Amino acid sequence: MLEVEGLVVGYGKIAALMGVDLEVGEGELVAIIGANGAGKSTILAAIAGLRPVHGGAIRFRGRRIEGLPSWSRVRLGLALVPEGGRVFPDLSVEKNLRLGAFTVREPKQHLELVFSLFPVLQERRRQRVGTLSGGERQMLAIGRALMADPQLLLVDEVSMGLMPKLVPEVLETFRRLRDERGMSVLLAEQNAREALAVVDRGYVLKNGQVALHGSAEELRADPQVKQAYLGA
Amino acid sequence: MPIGYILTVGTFTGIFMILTVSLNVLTGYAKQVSLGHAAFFAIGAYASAILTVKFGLSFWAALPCVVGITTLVGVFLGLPSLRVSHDFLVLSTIGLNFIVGSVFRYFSFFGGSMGIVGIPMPEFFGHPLGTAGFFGLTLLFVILTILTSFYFSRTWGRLAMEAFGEDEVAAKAMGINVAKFKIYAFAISSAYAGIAGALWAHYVGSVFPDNFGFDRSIDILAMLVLGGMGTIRGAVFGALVLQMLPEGLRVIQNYRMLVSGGILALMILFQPMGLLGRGSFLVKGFERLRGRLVSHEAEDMP
Ligand SMILES: Nc1ncnc2c1ncn2[C@@H]1O[C@H](COP(=O)(O)OP(=O)(O)OP(=O)(O)O)[C@@H](O)[C@H]1O
Ligand SMILES: [Mg+2]
Repeated sequence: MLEVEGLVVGYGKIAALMGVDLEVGEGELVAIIGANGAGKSTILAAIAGLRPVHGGAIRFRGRRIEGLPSWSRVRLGLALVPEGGRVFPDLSVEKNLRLGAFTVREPKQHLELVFSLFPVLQERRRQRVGTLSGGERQMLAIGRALMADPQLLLVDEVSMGLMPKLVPEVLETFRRLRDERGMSVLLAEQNAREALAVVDRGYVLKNGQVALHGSAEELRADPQVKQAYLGA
Repeated sequence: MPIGYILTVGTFTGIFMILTVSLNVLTGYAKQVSLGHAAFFAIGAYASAILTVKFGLSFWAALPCVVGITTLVGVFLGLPSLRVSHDFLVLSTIGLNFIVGSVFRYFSFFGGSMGIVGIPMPEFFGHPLGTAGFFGLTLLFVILTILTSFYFSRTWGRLAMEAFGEDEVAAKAMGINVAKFKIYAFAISSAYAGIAGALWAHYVGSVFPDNFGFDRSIDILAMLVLGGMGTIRGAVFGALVLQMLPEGLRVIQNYRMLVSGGILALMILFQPMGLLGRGSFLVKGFERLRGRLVSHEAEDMP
């Protein structure tokens, strides 16, 4: 589904990613874990087309996409839940969701899917988003990305701002999306413990490079990962 | 008060309504703050002046050309907005006033500092329009501007503009072609301003570079901000107030720049949504009042 090869991205003269290789298979749940500043958000931004790529290749469903503008990547089936959600506070829940379906002709069925995943959004559909709780906003951000009917969902730090109790619940929705709709999901997460509990595979990112990768099980058992990211 | 005077004030007010509604697309919806709107106004005025005086076209034949020219100019001058941040856009639009002014001043094709004079009144069935006729024409264009702009405000285009105006990253993540809609905003806004310019040129009968300076751009932005950015009613209301007020209070005319600049600064500080914008104290008060009336009616029902 997605293959990233030798990805190099920089901010000015500072290189944030120095040759990252990464893969997400059809219907696979994959996590990128790493400390603050490791480059997780940068990878997702580059895949979504929000950051220019300085080197390497990004292939999505067999197609080179690293040169395409962000809007055409959304049309190909990629959607990003940006860090912090970035929902529109002055608009209603429903308007936010409809904006998410900007590239879709028939948003109705997607709206129903989102409401079935997050019933609280349906209850508050006319409410101004600025008055939602942090957790509800995070759900809205995920819902808004789903409105674009993606085949690959890129999620940047969902656990941020969520009540610890809610984190597994939200992560569980990604599993549901995979099981019920065959969607692939690539998560960037600082919360390695929760992420590795639901995904199939993971990449450990360190200073802009992949330090380690493997199945979730392998990573959970790895002494280095345990010490650095699982706090054990 | 002589009727001619009232019609003249009405005509200028109408022209400024077109300008504020036009700026509303760019600054109200797309949040591209422009302190150079008078430049688009000027280009419309000069285009129509040259086409009619130098090339002998009628007002009516020139008008579609004027719209075409100003649309293209909008596209062209909108291109820098794709590269610069909001703060720099404000600066570069200020520069636009001076660049456009200089071009008109220093190239003799545009009449230099002598301007272009003898711009004819539009004709209607072979007769030049009088003051009343021109007022009617302006009113017609005001209505057309409001109607088309209202139509646009209900399209995806407006929603896209509001989305990237609020948060460009989020808009891009949702698949909105931000560059395209930014250019659309400039093009639409410039086309309306061009029509306002043409009306102005033919009503006044002459154009000079000084007619369309930086202070004009401030006036237009002050009108929009006073009325309420992002709403058509606010744009119309702001132009009405700031264009009529100096007529009633003559003394203000001598301090126009001070009044416009002051209103702009004060509104942005204390009522950024303007008098009639969404969530302004007047609109909230009105909604509360209406709510009370409605609930009273409900209570009265058996
Ligand atoms: N806009 C920017 N300008 C300059 N440097 C940046 C910018 N954004 C990120 N960086 C740098 O790039 C590196 C990677 O940042 P990135 O945001 O991808 O990290 P992250 O893994 O997502 O971190 P976090 O867990 O804190 O979100 C960091 O060193 C950061 O300082
Ligand atoms: Mg990050």
